[in-house]
Amino acid sequence: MIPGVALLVLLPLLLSPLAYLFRRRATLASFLSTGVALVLAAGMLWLPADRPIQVRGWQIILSEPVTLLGREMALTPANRLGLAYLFLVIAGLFLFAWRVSQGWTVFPLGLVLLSVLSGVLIIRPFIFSFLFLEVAVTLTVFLIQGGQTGSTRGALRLLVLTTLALPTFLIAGWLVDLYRFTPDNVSLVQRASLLITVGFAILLGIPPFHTWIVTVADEAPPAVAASMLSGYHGILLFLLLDLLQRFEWLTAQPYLTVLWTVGGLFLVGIGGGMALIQRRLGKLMGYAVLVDIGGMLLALEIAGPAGLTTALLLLGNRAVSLGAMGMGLSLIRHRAEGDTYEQIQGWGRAIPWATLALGVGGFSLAGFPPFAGFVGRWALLRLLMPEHRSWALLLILAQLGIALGLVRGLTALLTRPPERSLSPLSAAERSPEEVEAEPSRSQREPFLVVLFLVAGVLLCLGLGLWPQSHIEAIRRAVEAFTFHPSP
Amino acid sequence: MPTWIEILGRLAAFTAAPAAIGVMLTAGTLVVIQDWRISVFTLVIQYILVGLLLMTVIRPEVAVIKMLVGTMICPVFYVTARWVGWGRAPEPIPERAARPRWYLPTEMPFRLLAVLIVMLATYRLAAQYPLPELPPAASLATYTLVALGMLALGLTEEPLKAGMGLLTFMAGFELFYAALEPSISVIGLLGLINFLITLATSYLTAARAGLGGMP
Repeated sequence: MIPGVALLVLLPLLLSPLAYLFRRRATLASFLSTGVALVLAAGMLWLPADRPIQVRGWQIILSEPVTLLGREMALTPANRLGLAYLFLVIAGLFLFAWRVSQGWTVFPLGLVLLSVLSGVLIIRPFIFSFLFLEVAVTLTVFLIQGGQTGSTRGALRLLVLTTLALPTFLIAGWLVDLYRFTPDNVSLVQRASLLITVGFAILLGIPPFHTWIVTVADEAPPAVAASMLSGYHGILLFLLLDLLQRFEWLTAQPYLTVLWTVGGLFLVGIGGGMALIQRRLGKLMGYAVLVDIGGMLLALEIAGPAGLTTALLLLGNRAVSLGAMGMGLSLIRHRAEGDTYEQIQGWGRAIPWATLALGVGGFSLAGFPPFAGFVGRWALLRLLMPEHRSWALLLILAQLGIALGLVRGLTALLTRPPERSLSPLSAAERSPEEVEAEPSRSQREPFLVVLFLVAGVLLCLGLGLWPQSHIEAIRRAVEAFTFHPSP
Repeated sequence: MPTWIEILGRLAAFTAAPAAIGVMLTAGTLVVIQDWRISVFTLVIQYILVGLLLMTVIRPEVAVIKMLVGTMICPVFYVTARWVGWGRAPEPIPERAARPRWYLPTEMPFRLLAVLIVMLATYRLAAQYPLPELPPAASLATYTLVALGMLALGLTEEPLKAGMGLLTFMAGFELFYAALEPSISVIGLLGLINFLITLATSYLTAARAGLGGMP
């Protein structure tokens, strides 16, 4: 009999050396990695938890817990949804990296990351989740840098801030242990709540700890950045919900409510304002993500299942929107050799599908209809309007900020560049090496890449026009949480 | 006849105060001195001193293992620093150009002053708010390592020096946390994290110096 959790941790880990060996054969490495991620995602979504499953004579029971060095690893309905989300996000990255390189580290390290991040969600007690998260972040540094030389700010900032947050959770864990033996000492859980709140503020990127998000979006390979900004925050949200579910005293303290309100409003305000004035597509994506994280926190502030459903809806739709935007940006940055508005001038005509994916993904991330992002934002605005009109107004303004920033980017992409800017010299005056080195505007987008881009666009559109299917799934998942997010 | 670990354990009680002062000097040196050779050597000494302090808090065998993990990290930094020419490679031009107008120089006099101020503050903190479960010398060392580690992080964007700052911060925290949580699995995971931080910052150092690509 094989416990399901052992498979989750071991399968990607054992296959990662194979992906490393195939690192020069993107097709093999991509199919292997995508296959593993999709199989695990399907298992999390559809396999029964309690009934044994027969696979070639082996009996697998998903819900069977495993004890490792005295620590329990177990699947619950809530963390199954989180794991499925993570596997799907990473599967999308693996598949896209097949055709548009995201650095050679993406397949082997991505599989190791799947294994470690699975551990984050299934291990008890919670201090081990944060130790595993730190391990995952140190590995993510290699993905973010992805073999690129030059600036290392994004990866370094993520590493530094996550490491600075680690002690808060470890000390909180110690306080929680003490509280078990002295349940009358309420000050222990008050201090633990404060530490957990500070830790999450750093990890989630509440200002002034938000700088890594924007820098990662700007510097990392775009599809890696998109997966990271969806998957990492997904893991954090499910970890937070798991803590809220297990520790009743955490919901009784006021600190998390302050984090959700103040942090959410700061993120929305800063993200929207800064998105408006950006002159780089990567940074624009980063600031748009800030607004989305802020919206998610504001949704958590609303008590009851409606707030939680909206937060999960925003998270799921962010993955789709960022996926489309990241894929488009990947190709644009690859061809234009940069993503400043000067560098991308005129490239929209040369790579129209990438431009379409960037635009649709961007407007979806900004929360505009009829795209996926609108569904979550609309639900959030409806929740905020009765009691928090000023918050709703700020959110709308932030969405407009992102949209206007995106329009400026799209205008640059679609504006014909002045002849001079194509090259200071005429073709006759340039050496053959110079002509060859200059990015070709006549080169068409590869067919398979176009397929990915179109799939991203259709997904954004489909989830925006027919949202009921996945909203029902999220509602069912929310039933696994019985706490009330706000005191 | 006592084993050498027992001897070390007994010795640690006498060496705690000098070790704490030594840690203050090494952590201060890591912030002030920019030379990578001196920094790597200082980090080795710092791990040995922290190991001595750990012996006053946890079993000497475990403290020796943590000391060994720490000193094994330093050769990774040494090899990386040597590979990139001890940090003499020119700073990438785009970053230099991107410095804002209000950029403040943070050369040696500034760093020295900042280190002295932080040391004074940590000395007062350790005296007024001693950490639970820790002897006074270890408490002082914890405050100093954490504060100077954060100062080092704030003063550099150079991955190798930032890595050293991060490890200094972690060494300070681990000195405190070892007294609270003696579990071997936690100690093992923290050791792994230290090693991964070293590998990650070494990789970033190489990337920043323009050395990258597929192996």
